[in-house]
Amino acid sequence: MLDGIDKALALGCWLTAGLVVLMLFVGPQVVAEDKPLKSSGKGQQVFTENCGSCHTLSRAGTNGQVGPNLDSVNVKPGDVESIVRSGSGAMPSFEGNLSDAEIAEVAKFVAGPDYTAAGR
Amino acid sequence: MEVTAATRPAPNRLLVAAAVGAAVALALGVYGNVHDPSQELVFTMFFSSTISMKVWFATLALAFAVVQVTTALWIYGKLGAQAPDWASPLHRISGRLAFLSTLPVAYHCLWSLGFQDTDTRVLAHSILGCAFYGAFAAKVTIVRSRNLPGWALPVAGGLIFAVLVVTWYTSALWFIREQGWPDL
Repeated sequence: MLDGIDKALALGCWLTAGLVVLMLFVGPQVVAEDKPLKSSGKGQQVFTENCGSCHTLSRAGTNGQVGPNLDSVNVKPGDVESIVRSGSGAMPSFEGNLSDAEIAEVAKFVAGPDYTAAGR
Repeated sequence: MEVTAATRPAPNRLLVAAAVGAAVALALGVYGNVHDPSQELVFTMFFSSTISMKVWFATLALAFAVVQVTTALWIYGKLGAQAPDWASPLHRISGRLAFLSTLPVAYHCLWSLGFQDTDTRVLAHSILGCAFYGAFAAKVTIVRSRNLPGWALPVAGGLIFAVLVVTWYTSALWFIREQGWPDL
């Protein structure tokens, strides 16, 4: 019986691994289609309420001086999300304080409206 | 005389396994680096959030890996008593389940976050995540090779387990220490 489970799992492993590799390559076309990442506007609100006191970002109308000036940095949403989640230097982690959706929105907002999946 | 895989000297076959592992790890690292991570893809499967899914699946993978290492020690006679017949299939099943458990986590990491170096922990996790699949590929190559030195498979198994532990340490355990266990 265990041998039967083992053989079935072996096949399942190969198929699943193949599917994952396939999705890594076709995923951009299926899911994102290299469209600009749109922010619903919630990102600006989250930024203003949680980040603006420390960061300058002209799009949000904030002029905090504690952390880096975000007008002069070029970052991807994934990088922003990682920093928001884990913190960096004196910046605390916002994991738990912000929901996953709020973190994703603020990351897209900070990265900027011109960011596209095929872009920088 | 024709040199086949069976007749190739063992050191060459070990180099092939190492090369396969290095190629897989490098390919994943390059993909993670050149792919622009998308925040559009957030899947949770049957968990309450993506981070919950990743923490639980990574921890599940580690648990299966512990079973695999324990059964390996048993099979090699390192636990004293002789291993029963079911130890070998249990060893293989636990390894396959550990591998399967890592796939949703790795897919989200690669697709949605990419290779990152925002701090030492994140950089270490990115490198080790790629190295894990490289070590896995090398081990599979070794398992399928014949006439290798007796130490090759235990070393490969130990290496992959060690990489998995540190990968888990720099991600799931870090999260659990910072935020506690996430809700299912």
